[in-house]
Amino acid sequence: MYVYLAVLKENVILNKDVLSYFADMNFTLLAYYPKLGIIKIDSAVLLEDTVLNFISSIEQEKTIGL
Amino acid sequence: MKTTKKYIIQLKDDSKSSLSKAAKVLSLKITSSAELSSKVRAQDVLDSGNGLFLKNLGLAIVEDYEVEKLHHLTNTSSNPIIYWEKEREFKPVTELGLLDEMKINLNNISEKIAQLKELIEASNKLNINKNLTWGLNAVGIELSNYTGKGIDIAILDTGFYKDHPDFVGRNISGKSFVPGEKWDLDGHGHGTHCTGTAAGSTSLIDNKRYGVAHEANIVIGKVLSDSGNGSTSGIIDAIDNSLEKGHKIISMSLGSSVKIGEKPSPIFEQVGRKALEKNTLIIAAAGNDSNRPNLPKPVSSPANAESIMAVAALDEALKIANFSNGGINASNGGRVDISAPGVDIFSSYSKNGSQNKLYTTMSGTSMATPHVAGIAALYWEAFPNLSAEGIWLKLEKRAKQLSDQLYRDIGQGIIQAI
Repeated sequence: MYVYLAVLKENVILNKDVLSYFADMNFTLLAYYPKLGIIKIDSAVLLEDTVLNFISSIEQEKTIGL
Repeated sequence: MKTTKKYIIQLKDDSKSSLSKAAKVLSLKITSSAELSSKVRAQDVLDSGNGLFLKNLGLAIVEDYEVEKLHHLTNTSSNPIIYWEKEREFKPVTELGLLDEMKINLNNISEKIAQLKELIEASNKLNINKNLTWGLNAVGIELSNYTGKGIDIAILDTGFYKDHPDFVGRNISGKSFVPGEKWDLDGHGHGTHCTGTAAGSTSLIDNKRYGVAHEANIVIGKVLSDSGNGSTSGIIDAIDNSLEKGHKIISMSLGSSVKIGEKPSPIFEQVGRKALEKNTLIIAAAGNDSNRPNLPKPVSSPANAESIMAVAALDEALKIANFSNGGINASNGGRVDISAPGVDIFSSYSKNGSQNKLYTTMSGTSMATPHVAGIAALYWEAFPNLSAEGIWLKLEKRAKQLSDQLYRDIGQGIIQAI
């Protein structure tokens, strides 16, 4: 399982079509940050080289420290 | 042009009576040039202590004369002297000669500048207020009439020790984004230290002021665990929450290292841009991976995002701290924007932290960042209608440039209070 943060393309909202696409891609939507247009998803496969609809950029969750 | 000790004197006229009158008032024997010969040369006349009268010009030359006497003589009505001046040295005007002359003049100016600099530095030292931390002195807090009143500063860190006696009566709210850990305990201490610098006040113990915006509203976002670690999503969750609530300033003394040439995270680019759009300024630590004088490491993430203000750390001599990261990846946006005090910074601490005390001294770009966050609150109080980008520009524009420091290391200079 890989946890990703993804920036939604401009003007994309989490409607039925988008959620249906994520389901088809076997993504689990973990969180949605509406003010930022960012989502947190769980994927069974690595996504770095995958072309994705509705998403402009994506990166794996990282650890941040002091 | 250099001057010698000879003086050129212009007499009223070249009559014998005028000449003898001049000789009398000057108390000198004046030899006329008519008396010069191969045996009696002009310099011989002067060397013998006499004046020389150049009859064809109506001018006299005297040597080693007391200048005060000449001043006195020209002020009397019966004076036979119209004008006098020191003899000047003339040189051939060549390009090289002019350059030499300019070099001498520049050296003189350089000496004057050095003297002026010493005077200013001495004067600055005299202005140090011992009731303020060195950091507050360095950012000019004493001259500020602003307190950050009514401005929300969100500190995203390890939390805050809410029972700290210096914060009694303050407007403090918070939320934890770390599962299972409360925001108001701060089992680490780092968050309480940063909060103290940004928005604390004065130590109850020794009456020393360590906080910048001491009337700002404190908003705590616990995004780092008591062991000091957190995740990107926890931080993003906290920022989203701050934007929802309209917090003006977000201070993040946290980060993760990046490699040389590495581009900023598109996630944090989006975060910073959205925050600016919604009138929130995000300020983040440049990171402490460097070991100067070696080449510094690049500014960490998320401070390396173009739309997030990156803060470097200075020591008390206002030199870049040896650990402070630099704008090595500036072409990708990862530059230092501004700098602030970040070495040996005294501030509040958490009783629940590892040192189990109410105050401590810490170093890091983590300590520089809340100086900037607090001062941003002062600016927003002063300019309530400005946008986040407008505040950013003002902070940079009013930063004090530091001599002998690289833009790569300190950005626009040391932040200054308003």
